[in-house]
Amino acid sequence: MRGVVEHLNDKKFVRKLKAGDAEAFRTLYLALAPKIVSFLIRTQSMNAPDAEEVADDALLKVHKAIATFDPSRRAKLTTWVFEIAKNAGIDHYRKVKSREGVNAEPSGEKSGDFVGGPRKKPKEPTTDSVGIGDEAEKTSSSRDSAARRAYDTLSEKEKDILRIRDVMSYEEIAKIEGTTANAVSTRYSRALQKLKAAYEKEKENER
Amino acid sequence: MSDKEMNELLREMFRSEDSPPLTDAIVDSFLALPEEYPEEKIRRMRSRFVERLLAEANPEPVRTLKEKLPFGRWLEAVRQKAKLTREDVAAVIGVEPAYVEQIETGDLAPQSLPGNELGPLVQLFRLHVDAMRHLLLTSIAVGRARANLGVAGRLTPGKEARKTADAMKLALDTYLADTVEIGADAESEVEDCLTTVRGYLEARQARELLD
Repeated sequence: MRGVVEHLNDKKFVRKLKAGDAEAFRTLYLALAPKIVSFLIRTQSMNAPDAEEVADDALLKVHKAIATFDPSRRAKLTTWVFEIAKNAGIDHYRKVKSREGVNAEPSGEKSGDFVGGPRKKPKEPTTDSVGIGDEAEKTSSSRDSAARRAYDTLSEKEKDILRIRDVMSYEEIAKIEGTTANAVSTRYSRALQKLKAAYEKEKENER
Repeated sequence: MSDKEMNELLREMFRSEDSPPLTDAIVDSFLALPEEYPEEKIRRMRSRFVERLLAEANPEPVRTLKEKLPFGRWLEAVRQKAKLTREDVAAVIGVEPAYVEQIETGDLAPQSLPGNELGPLVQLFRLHVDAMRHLLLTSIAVGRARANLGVAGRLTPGKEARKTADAMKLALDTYLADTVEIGADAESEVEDCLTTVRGYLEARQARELLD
């Protein structure tokens, strides 16, 4: 499957996908569905059935929006797909939270309405909307914007290690990068210290 | 502030709507992890996805047909419009993709298929039995005309020749569907077939495809 995943970002393959080639989309689905499910289980602490459902929602959005993917923009196709999956996961998490909060389902939402009919789609992704999020939907979840501002002051490499560590263990990262878990841990600590300093500075400025 | 607290803030930010966009480096690292999810579960996911796409394509049962087509060609057109492959359809109804191809191209006469094979197809494509009757009648008429013309077989071996032959067969089927007369004896053949499909759908309480 590793080979298949790499092949997903080939120009020729992306062109076929954007043209609506059914075979190409099936390949993308079968290659990325397991990865997305694992990603959601890790990042959103979901159980497997929920992760499958959210991954399926995300892949349906990908299926509908694939023609809008712009390969000349910043990210690879696989990153674009994962961004949609990430947002679907966050959306799901928010709904679960709000259900827990008011002990009732949000109006118009029914859980388990999976096969056999269209479901409510909160956001239709396009290249422009993916990753940007709906400003109107932002609520208390971004309660600490100082953290985000501090994060934005870091270098890309520092941001990446903080984010990768959020999804993977030191050992897993070390194996992929061909280094030691200790080396990864040191790099992570440095980035975290830098973030902490930037965060405290941001907080200072707020006062 | 402790490292633990900073980590918590970071975790929360990644899971909020304020989450920064993923980068190629992050996704590539994650994709490099070994497989973790059972293939069988993914196949089941894909089948549900296929059912969902077809249900979205036809939220209501299909009662009227826009074009006059043989049964298999209608299935093929709906499948292609939903951007699905023959493998997808085959996996949901539990047959080989080559079998789906034979049904779509009319190499297998639909009216001679057993109810437990036609039934799942009809259900998956949300085809009402009334519309199915028309498709089957057209299938029979086209099948006969094709046999008379002697072009049902493939022209020559080879991938490209096969593609050309398939395209010609599709063009011919579409033409014939519009022009051939449906023989009176086809009606009884179709009724026999519809009886078995009705039996299948009734057993599964798919009333919407029957009433």
